[in-house]
Amino acid sequence: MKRNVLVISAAVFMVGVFLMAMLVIKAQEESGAHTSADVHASSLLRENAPTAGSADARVTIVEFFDPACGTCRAFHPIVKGILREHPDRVNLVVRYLPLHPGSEDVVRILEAARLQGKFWEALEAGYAAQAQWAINHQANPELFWRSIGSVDLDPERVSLDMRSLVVSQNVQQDMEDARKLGVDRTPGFFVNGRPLVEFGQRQLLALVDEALEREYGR
Amino acid sequence: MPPQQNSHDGWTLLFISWLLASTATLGSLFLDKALGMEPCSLCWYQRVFMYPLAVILLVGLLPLDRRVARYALPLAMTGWVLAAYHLLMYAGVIPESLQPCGSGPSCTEDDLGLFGFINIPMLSLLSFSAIVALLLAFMKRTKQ
Repeated sequence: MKRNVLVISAAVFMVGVFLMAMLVIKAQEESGAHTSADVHASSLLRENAPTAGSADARVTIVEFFDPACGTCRAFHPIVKGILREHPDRVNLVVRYLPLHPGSEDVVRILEAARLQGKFWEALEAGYAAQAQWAINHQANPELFWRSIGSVDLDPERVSLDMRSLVVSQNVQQDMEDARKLGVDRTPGFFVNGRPLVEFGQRQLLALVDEALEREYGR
Repeated sequence: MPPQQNSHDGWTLLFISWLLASTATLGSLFLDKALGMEPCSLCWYQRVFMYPLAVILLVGLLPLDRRVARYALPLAMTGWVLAAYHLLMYAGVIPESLQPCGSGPSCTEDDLGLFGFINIPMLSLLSFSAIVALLLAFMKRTKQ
């Protein structure tokens, strides 16, 4: 029986070392993420980035998103729910981070729609039809354009604007800022400058609650 | 009916091979999950043959079942071939077809940089080699 004890204690030991090493690395990563968010705090916002909610809110969620990303689509109603729950206290700024092949043109269409004041409508329509235009992690801008046909957009202006310098600069700056902030997957959330390190709905809600408490007390 | 526990039944050989397989399993998970070194496609195939070894050898040890070597050896040998192929590719002996950028990690790029010369395919090949050798020795001893 001594042997069984040896085998079991070796197993427990190895798993223990593994879990401890994981915890150490995760803690390092977390503090690293906070540091880079602090160092690059000026990269969080961009003038003219699409915004939802009250301008006076003291809690701001920044979301780096890719319209072709399934998790971003899944999180959209969650984020909207947070805004609905705290209408005057929380607002949302979204930034483009097109990581999927083909996404950059989709993002350019969205930015062109923003110039016509139709960003959120276009995004909603795009998310609703995501399965039709984003297949196998591949975004198809033409199918995307067709799937947001219900949004009242001037097509000629969209096709001109999506290649314009302004749109290019905005999209480029968002991608550059994401890189500085260490966001390499979507959706990437920050709440009042604090990064969502461990990903999840519960974790995001906790981060928002924390910020609400800090800003408005309980 | 206490299991016979003489020191020549090769239990230690099996035990060490299980330790190796478990270390390789947890180690690769650590590199991937904690250090963010994503496995390339060849790494995945080696995992397919290493991970079950950690489980199957443990089952063979609790309690000792000598037939476990029969089932473990083909896994270890297949893994060994894959690791050898990977190391040759890593060393540049076998050319890797060019990969477009951004389509997952390359099989020849990742560098562990341990002591300057240890790389992941080498660790994999060493582990599979040792496990194959230990299992062969175990089988030889069992045959008598």
